[in-house]
Amino acid sequence: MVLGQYFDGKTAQAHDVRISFAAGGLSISGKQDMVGTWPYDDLTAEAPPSFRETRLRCKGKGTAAIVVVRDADFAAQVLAKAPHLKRAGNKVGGGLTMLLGWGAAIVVAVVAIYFGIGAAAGLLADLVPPELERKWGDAYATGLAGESEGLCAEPAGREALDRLVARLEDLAAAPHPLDVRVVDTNMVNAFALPGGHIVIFSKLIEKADNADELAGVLAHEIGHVAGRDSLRGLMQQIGVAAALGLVFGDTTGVDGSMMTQLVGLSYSRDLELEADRYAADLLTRAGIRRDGLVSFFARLDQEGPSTPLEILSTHPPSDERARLLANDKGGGPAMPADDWAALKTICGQSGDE
Amino acid sequence: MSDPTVAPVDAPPSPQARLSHDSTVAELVPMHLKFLALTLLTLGVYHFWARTHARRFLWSRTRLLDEPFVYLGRPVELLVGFVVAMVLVVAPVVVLNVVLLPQAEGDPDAGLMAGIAALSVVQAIAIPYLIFVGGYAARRYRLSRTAWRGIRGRQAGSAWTYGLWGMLYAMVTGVTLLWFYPWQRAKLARERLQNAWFGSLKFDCDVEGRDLVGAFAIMWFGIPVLGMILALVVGGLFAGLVAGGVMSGEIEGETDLNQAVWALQLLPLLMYLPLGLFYIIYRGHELRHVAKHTSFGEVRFEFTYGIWQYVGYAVGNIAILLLTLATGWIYVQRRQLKFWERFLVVSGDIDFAAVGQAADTGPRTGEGLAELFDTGFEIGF
Repeated sequence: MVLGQYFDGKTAQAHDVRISFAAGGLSISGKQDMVGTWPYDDLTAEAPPSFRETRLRCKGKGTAAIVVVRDADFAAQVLAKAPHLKRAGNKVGGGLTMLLGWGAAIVVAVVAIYFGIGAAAGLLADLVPPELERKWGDAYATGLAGESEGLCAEPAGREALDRLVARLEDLAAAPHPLDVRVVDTNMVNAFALPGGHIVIFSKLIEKADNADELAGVLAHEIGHVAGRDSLRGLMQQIGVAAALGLVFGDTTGVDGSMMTQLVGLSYSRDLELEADRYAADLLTRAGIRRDGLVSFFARLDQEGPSTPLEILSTHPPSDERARLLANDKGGGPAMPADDWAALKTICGQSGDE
Repeated sequence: MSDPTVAPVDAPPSPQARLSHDSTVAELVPMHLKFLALTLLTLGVYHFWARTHARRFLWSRTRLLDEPFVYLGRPVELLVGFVVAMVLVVAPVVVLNVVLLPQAEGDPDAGLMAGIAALSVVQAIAIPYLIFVGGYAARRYRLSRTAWRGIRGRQAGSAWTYGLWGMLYAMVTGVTLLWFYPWQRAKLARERLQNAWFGSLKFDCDVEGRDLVGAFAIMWFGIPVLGMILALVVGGLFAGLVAGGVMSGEIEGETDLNQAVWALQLLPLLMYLPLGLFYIIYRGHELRHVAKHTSFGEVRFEFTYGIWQYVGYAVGNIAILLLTLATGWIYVQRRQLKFWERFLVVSGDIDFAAVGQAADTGPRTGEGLAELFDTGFEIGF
């Protein structure tokens, strides 16, 4: 028998008790009244019994009641009767092998999730019916390049562009009818939205040296439409955000949004290369020189990065792109010189700045 | 086997007993790695187990008057709470943004527009409201799952009412050029603490807005002043560098200059520095005031840190979270407990025999909304 303290879970007062090992469990008795017997199997603790202090609770005995004993022999004896207390508190072992094991598990999990999201995004994108994709795309396109004053549609230029689009679209077998818009914006950019919408910024046409370069950009964007890449990118973004949110509990903070962007970038590099491959094939079949995209980007790169964030941009490594799109298949110009001149003035101003 | 000389557990409380916490970082590293690995492998489900195990561990290592705290919560309670919150809050937001809005672009009709309007209102008003509600409800859960000397804590009062006051005060703060903010904070602190119980013994708090207004003034004037000084110094330095570059010929041509102009656009980001610094300073002052005005029977609280010690503590927490990509919350929780151990003075006696267990065992599930919005606080006034 040992002496100990007992918190009965009724008041915060500590009571002196005597504790002994009975057949059915720990027998606890106090001055005034018998406390009872706690079965050995029902004993729980926040830490294993130790020579300094043993704190025990009992499942189902009013969850908060506690018995406290400071006695080394008692600790050893209670461990013998209730060996499960050795693991009380679920403390994680800190050995080197354990640490390395958990570290390896983290790496495996991150890799699995990364590829899992990529694959799942593709599957999910396939599940979205084209009509729904078209609707989403329409909403985006109206928002980004609506019937506002920014839309460029000088008739001669528009017709020239339409002829080029038609020439490529006939061979493209894209899942959506193409809708190519030119928007008057002072940025060099072009992008594909869900549902076959392609937006080209006027500054890009201005910067292009010849129609082949524009055709290269256009074929690349048609590649994105054919791969339903915007949709896939959207799904990936949702997937990455959801994964980060679940794991880190926070996607709104700096960490979250930064990581979403970085992970998204690494996915889109793959998609960009895929679009390049598609463009190479499409241009060849259309009988157009296929190095327009390369020469265009090479010239832009020479002019230097236009923004500090350019390093993070989604362009694939240029040597890989150059290899894919090298002009080794011949081919002619993308459009007659008249058409190109007309296209340069699609926004109404003179093309030679 | 008995040893009658074993020291009694119930040594009389010392007049200036402090809180103590004795976990070590070396114990937490394997926990952190295990939690992270299992959370990733289970696509986040293990998060609730990690939270619970961490609390059980940290609570058991934290003692007040030499008695440790006991955490009674179960992981599945957190999981269920989260799922419920997810369904209630995220579902309407997803329906609105992914299904209804794109559809309305195609063909707007009256019924659809009404649905969109209703859901937009939910998004704009309900979410900030639910952040207040969630924070309060999480407190209720945590207190009900925290026992000391066999007695559970308790948070009475209505989370929904707390949320309404929170929104109302926030609006007043907005229209008073923020000058209502100290009163907002004081009123909400009182609302929280006057409803906090340990069994049948109630906490009390009489902090007033005027106690915090000095600290607030430092923030209100400090942010723009330091911001302008920073802008002048950095802007001047930058302009000098560019001018020097142009003269020495290192910067030439439109492109280089464009780059310089681009870098200039990053200048406003500097505002985050004074913003963060003065906010932390304010919070340091506020915590001291709230603690000083909080009582618990005969017990009084006082923080003894200097304000720069608090700044160092808060910046350290932010650094840990950034460096561990927010997965290192367990170290931050330990740091908070160590900070309290070092600086929180708890004085006065409690008549333990008079403190009874409350019948109320607290909510069945916990913290869903708070998890969702990451209100962040775990332990506190």
